[in-house]
Amino acid sequence: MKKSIQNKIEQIKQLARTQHLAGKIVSAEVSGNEDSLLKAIRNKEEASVFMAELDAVINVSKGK
Amino acid sequence: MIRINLDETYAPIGVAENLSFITFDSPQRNGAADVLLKIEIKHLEDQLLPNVYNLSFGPIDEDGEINDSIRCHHENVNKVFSTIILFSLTFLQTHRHATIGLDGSDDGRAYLYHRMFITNREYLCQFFISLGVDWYVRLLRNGTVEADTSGNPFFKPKPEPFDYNRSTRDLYRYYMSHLIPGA
Repeated sequence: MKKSIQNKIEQIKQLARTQHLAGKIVSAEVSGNEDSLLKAIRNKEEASVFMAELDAVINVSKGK
Repeated sequence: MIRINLDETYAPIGVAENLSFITFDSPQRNGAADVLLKIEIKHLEDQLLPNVYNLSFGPIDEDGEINDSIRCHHENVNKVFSTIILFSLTFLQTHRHATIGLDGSDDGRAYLYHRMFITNREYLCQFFISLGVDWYVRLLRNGTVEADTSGNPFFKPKPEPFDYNRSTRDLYRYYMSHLIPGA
């Protein structure tokens, strides 16, 4: 990781901490949205299958 | 064509403590006033999809909600998307098991994401594992397709490593990123 990029990341993390302490950004809630993946997952069983496939694809990609 | 460069990003204005959102100003063309943009990273569903998050972004309305109907003419689209990618990287560094998804159900946005993944393949591979998700339906032996109780095709999402040879005529329905080890 290039140092200049990691520095920017650390600045964002620091801003998140300090804005919270200063009470500027107190809400961590995000607005709702209609996510197509979530709509396509109908039950726990389908979710389990999807998560297993996702983990497998990620692990294969990590090994490359 | 979007070119990602994490050394060229906009400064954040507001950041949520848990990094669930960030805001920044995007200068507009033709002297129009800057537009405040918001990037949100939302946990999809605790019980069903642990560690899967949706990323959305856009201008915000008076209530602080993202409103896609507001038209923008960004002065520097590369810088807008580089800011989005930098925030994704920040989030994933603090949620190392998370996978962030971009919803490609809208053709325009899917095209944009697809092109961005392909154009910036080498650059993004320094940080992310890129994935695509298609919706599949099972062909039954009687020649029909599996259907739900209403008779609609029973689609199932299936992830795969991003296929960089896929053209923009064959878009994914969902685009995902996971942090590479060590990033």
